[in-house]
Amino acid sequence: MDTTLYSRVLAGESAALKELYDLYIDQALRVATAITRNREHAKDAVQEAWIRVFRHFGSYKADQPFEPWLFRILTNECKRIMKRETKIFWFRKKLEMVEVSYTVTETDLDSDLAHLQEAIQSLKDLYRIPIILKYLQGFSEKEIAEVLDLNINTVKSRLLKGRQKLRDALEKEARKGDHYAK
Amino acid sequence: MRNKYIDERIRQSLELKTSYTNSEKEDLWARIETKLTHPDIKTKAYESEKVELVANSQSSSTSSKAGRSSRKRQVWMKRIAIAATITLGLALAVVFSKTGQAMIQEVKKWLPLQKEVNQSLEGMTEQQNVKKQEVPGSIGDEKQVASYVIYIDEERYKLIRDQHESRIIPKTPLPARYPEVSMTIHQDLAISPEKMAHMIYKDLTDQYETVKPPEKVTEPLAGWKISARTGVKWDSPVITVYVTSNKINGSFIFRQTYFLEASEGHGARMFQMLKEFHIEVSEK
Repeated sequence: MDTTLYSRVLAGESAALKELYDLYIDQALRVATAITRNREHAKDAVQEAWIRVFRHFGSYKADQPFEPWLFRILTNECKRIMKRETKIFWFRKKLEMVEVSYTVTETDLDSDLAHLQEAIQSLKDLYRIPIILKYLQGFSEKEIAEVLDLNINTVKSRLLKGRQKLRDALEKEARKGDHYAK
Repeated sequence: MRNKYIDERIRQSLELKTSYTNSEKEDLWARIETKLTHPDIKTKAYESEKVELVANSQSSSTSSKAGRSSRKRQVWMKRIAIAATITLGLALAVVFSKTGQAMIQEVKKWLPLQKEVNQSLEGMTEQQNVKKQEVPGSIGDEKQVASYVIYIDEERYKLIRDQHESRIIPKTPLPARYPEVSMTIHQDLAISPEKMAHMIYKDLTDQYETVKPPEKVTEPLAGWKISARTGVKWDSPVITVYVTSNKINGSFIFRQTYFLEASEGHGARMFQMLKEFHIEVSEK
């Protein structure tokens, strides 16, 4: 991070906080939405993550990359919200609350992407979250390991398996398409 | 399939519907900024209530070992409850004797001008310095009047009094986009707490989507609780009303008004304030 911005944020200058927020908010929201599978939960997670970032900015070391630190906090916040939502699922159903889902339907765009998104979202979290961090945030394997507090070899293996599952899903869809085309 | 093609498709599919409008981002920033400057506004407050409900439902399906430990705990709870009932009975006997009345009249003098209380907020304990506020009893035809003492964290709140009620509001006004946050204290000289609670329930049912019927509570004070809300958005209005006896023939009514996100902040602080509510009955 730019050292001037770092010092201004550390000093609590409100314009600097907003500047930092503006720099990363798009990616933070994208990643949180993909992880939580819900736009409202994503906003909650992002909000809480930024509050934590600003309140604990003193523990961030300026010579370290900022993004893995930010996304580590964000990912943990997303996981916390997902855990909470799993617990209250029955209650939510009872209240007949309407989920604000972000899932793409076939009518939204091309069906391949819709199926692929469905395939990603049906992966177990241990494969799904590293894939989101890699493809949506563009993190390296080392950075993903840092964000998720995992060994780099574990990350490599999870990415490989997750990607293989998605490849299979894509090929299956393609075969289905060929079948109907004939 | 080529790897590059697959990678590109994965990226594209993940980007779908994950973008937000500028106004959504600005709104989010406004929420963050307010929380940084007003830490009392806590998030996801209503969830704690839901989690509690889930915990209750889950407790019925615990393992037999947990069940045994739960039964042991229940036996102890019963014993404690019996002991507490006996103590309470003795205390009430003292209170309603002439000596007791005299003692109550002295209560106000015993209470310190200020004290430190531990406030639990989102699992964290915070120490607060609270100050005594004395409010004289209502004027009526009764031979006795009930006045009260409440302790307030004056760093955050102030008490405004008029002829009919007291109102506790944040010392620093919240920005205009936030719904009202307040607690009013009103005394009714003639209506019993139970009757009053049911009247309030009926009244709230006409105004709010979700209203919980009156339930007997022992905390933050002994009496009745009615809660109501409309919606589950961060700024959805929440009303919590407590009704307790004024120790003569009437009731004290505490109407807490806040919004969903403030439940664990202002809501928790108001709950704490009611724990430090003391009634004094005196002859006219």
